[in-house]
Amino acid sequence: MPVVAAEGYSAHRVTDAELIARCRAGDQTAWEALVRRHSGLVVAVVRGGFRLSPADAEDVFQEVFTRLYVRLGTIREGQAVRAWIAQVARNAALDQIRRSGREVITGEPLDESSFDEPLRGVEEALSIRAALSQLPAHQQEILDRFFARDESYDTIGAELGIPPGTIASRISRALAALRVAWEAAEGRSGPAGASPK
Amino acid sequence: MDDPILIEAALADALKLTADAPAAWIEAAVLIPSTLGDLAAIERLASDPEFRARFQDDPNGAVTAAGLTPTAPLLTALREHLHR
Repeated sequence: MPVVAAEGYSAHRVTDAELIARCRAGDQTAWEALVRRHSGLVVAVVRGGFRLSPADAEDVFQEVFTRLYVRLGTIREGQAVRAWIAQVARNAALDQIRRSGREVITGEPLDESSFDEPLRGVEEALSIRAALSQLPAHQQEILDRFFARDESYDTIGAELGIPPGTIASRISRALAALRVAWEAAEGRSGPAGASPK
Repeated sequence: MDDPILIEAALADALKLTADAPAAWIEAAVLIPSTLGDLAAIERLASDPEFRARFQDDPNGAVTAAGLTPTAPLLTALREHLHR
């Protein structure tokens, strides 16, 4: 029986090792918490790192978590689960690309190294996403709606009850706040992607 | 590097890159344990030499012949065992 809800596992910062131990004991809520905790990583790898189509990305997403579930009994205590998941997601995405015939279209073997740079960007992007949680809720909401959910000014204005004419400036202020939060968390100045080309 | 417009454009790109997984994906992944059922039974099946040989040639046919439905999670789970 679940001891706490999946959100509770996240809120109490239960470690991956503890979640896996609870999954092995049949705790379905722990499994849900594990999926939710690492879903963003898998999505970022398959969408951001490999630019898979939504259908292919979903297939790989399910494959990664199926493999994780099957392996729960053999993952060593203390093993870096996050790194394991990232590696499985990478390999599964490459397999999916091979199956989809992308290399057949070009007539060349798949160049795995061509994904190295976008995959490096994934980790940084995830740290920026983590910094987002440091912002006030209203700033998190407007940035997530505009950039991640791709909502229009009109939709955001209607949903949040704010004049559409003020949304651009609110987004700008929230981005500036995100920059400060991220730089403080990372101890650096600006994402690598911000370097002038 | 200090250009705030470039930095904030990169931040915006990062947020796009890390959009939450669609709820349906999460829900399906959460159901993997119930979809797969008894892992020990899957492992026993995967350790059967006859099944292994048949699965290599025709995964769907092998699973169906074993009396199971060849769902994507089941095929993935069997491959995971076979590749160990």
